[in-house]
Amino acid sequence: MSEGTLPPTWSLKRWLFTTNHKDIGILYLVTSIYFFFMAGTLALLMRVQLFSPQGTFLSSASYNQAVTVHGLIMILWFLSPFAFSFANYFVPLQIGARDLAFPRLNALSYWFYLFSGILMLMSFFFGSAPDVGWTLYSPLTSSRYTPFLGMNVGAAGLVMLVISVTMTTVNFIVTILYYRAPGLKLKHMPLFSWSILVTVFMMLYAFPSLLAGVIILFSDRTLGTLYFTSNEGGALLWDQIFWFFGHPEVYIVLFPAIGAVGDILPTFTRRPLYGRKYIVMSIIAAAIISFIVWGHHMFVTGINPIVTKFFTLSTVAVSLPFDVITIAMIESLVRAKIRLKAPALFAIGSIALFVIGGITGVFLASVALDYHLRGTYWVVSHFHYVMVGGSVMALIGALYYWYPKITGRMYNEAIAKAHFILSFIGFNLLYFPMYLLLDMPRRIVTYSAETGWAPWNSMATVGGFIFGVSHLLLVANLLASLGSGKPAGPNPWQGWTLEWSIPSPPPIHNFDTTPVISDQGALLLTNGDGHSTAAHGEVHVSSVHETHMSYWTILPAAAGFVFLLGMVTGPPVLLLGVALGAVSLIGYGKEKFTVREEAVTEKWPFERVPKFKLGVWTFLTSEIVLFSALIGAYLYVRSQSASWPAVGAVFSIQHGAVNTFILLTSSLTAVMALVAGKRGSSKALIASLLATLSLGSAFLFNKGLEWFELFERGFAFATSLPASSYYITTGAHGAHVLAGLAILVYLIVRAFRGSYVKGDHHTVEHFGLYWHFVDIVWVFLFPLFYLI
Amino acid sequence: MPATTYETFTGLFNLFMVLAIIVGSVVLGIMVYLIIRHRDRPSVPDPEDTPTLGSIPPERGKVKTLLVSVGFSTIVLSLLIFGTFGAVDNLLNPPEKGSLEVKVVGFRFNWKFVYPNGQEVRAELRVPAGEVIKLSVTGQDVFHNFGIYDFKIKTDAIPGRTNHIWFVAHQPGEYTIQCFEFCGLGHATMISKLIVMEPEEFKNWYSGLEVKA
Repeated sequence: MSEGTLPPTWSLKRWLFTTNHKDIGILYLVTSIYFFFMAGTLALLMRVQLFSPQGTFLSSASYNQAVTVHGLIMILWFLSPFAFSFANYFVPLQIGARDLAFPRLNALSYWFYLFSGILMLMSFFFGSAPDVGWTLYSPLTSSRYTPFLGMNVGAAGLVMLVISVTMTTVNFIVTILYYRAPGLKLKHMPLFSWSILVTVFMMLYAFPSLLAGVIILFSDRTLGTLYFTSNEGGALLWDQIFWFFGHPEVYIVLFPAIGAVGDILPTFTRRPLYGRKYIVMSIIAAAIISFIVWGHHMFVTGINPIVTKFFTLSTVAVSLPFDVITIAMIESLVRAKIRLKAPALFAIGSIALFVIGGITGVFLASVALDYHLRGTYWVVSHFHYVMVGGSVMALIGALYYWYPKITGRMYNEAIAKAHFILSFIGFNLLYFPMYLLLDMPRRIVTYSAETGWAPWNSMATVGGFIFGVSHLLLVANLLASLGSGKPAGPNPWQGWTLEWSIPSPPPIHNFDTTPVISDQGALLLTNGDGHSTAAHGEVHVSSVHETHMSYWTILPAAAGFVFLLGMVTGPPVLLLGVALGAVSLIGYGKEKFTVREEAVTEKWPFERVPKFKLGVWTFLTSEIVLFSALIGAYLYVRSQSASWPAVGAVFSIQHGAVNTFILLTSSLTAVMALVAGKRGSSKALIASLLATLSLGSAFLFNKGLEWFELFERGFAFATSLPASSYYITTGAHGAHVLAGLAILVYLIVRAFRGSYVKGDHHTVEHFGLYWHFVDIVWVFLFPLFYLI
Repeated sequence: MPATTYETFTGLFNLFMVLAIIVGSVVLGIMVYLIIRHRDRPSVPDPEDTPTLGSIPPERGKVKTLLVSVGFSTIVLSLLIFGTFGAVDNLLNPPEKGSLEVKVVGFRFNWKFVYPNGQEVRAELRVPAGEVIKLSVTGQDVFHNFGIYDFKIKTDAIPGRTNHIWFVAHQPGEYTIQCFEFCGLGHATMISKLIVMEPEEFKNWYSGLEVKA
């Protein structure tokens, strides 16, 4: 595989093995749009069922699966990936970078995403797809009330998706903080890139909570642990874990859309954004506050009224930054020169719909009003106004906005305007009547005629079909324009952001020479002509020595797919997954992959931190949140329990203390390995690594003995809550130790071949960071389980 | 006479709605006006601060405008919060006068009601008009939600927890009790009848209930 080249766009090989951010962006775009139509069809099936009272189009079982899968797919497999297709394509361009910080990791993210979606859809074939609502409330999701395996398969899909998201998060944080062109300070970044930066930070802190919840759910369903089936844990525990993720999640799907609007508006109003820096500050403020409002999903669960009043306050407070953003964007229209082309129509339309949705959200923020509105179609209408009206419509605008850059062609403006009008009418016909259905419960398969709900439901169904059909215009337009659209040139909209300074479509390497921003804010551009160099046929850019292809990014994702499927179906498939995983990770590690590093980039505030280390720190942040959620769940059920075993009654303090000593010593040997590597002493390096491996193995062996003894004494997974919480939490920790040992084996093999000495020691350092983290987690677990 | 739950809700909801319609109309109206007024026409020149490729756009806008908007919003929202807190206290604290206490248990897929005399009735809740009814609600199997939409109240019915709500019905008649939290295949049919009877009729029925034991 020669460096700096990619196979042509019509070859399968290109799309299977690319690591270029633009290709990955297109992969995400096409895949997410597929999921949009798939989940949208499910919604239309539901609307047919609800058209008239006592409908018989769908059975209760089918309807319940449709409503659940519709929600899961739309929020997790469509909205964010759709936003991130643009993030992948355009963030590196907007900051003047050649690609993302970790291109192969980016490809991995995509393949994990695709396979996770396949897992979720496969659940239909395992008895039944999940049919418990996208919110997966307990105890409904327990094996007692949801016995079929499809729920486990869906959960496995969720786990795989979270892994994909975590990889994306690490990649974008390092890229945006580390690869900005010289002079491009954070404050100069276009709003879209800013919104992606804030979004990935939110993802970093939110998704591990979902992962913790799904791990515990999986454990409850397969091992019989009692977290969500017991009264002490039960519904409220899942509520807390899920909504701690769930609320930030809905802003995660919204902020990229706000960012896109923030890029579209200046271009189509011919004026700068009003109050740009206050918009950025508001996005950050809203992101932070979003983590302390989750209780508004639990207003009538019977928690302490003081707590619900606090959540009313915080939820109302979060509307203030959105207020600033909305007002600033509307002010941007004042004395502007507004070109009402499709991107602007969708962007401005989305602001209007977001205003309506946001106002109705304030109703829901009131705990008193929630006593009536909870669980009704008022809620359904509110979140569709903000998520579809606010987010999807804006992102469709972004698709029209950036289509010329991606393809080099203009779409048909008349058809796009027709799309806008039809979708706007359809949207409001579909969702506005739902506000009038504020008595009607959510997720009911049917209703009786006496309720009087039929006319609004019929109207909504008609609106739904108009809305759905309108999007066929989008697809037809964009596909047809690929061949027959007018050539676009580099800057058809006269935009100011960096992506408009290069040809459409951009060459593989993006910029011929790096853009530089002067102190006065002037962009010094060096690539001015509009000729595309990446049309058809192979691209040779001989002065560039970097790789854009990897053969080892699909296989790890396939291995993960097989492994997680094996978690549901049993050991044979599971072991196959482990084997595939081992092979693919070794291949990945051995593959030669060069990334050309720029000599000078803006790195504030991480000027002195090497990029891999920054990536490892970011990853470890997500692990901290994961373990915080797991430990938090343990503390929660313990605080709700009337009684708990006394200190020393069940767990042997000696076992725990010995293990603590072993693990802490292994941290010491890990440090010694790093010191040896820096000093250049290969023998000492190998010895220290081997010592760490032995100590880590001793820890696991000791733990295994401990577990065996506990089992013998009748203290198993399903025995009691103290047992469940112990096994889940220390088990998750043990799995992390095991992963560390696997990495150690790889390091030792390489060390024997002379690696990691004198300047090459960074991998050992990164491993050390992970290992120390795992040890620190144990330092918390030991007192929490053994000493109190 | 203290406000019923219906009155409490409706009063607050109407306040929210009036403000929502005013704010919504003003904002959307301004948007429509601005789009029409400042739309692109050949006679309109490019503004001075048009962002151009080659330079970072200048700063635009007065922070004062945004602060005024935030200040205005805070006042409106504070009003709504104040109203909310008052209403919540009302919804959570039934009037002191004599009341009928009924235990409610949600199960897949209906409700059962346990009266003070220990008698259990399924799918039907009978209460006397004019009297404060206090309900202690729990779930037997999964997470349900007990709601009477004509009286604008509901509460979650969670296994292992008991939640308390109250209402008073001044008019005899039949009303609907429904489940508002997704609970499985029968969620849509988890419907009970609320029958509000004249006090005399209720007394007769209730004593008949005791005898049947």
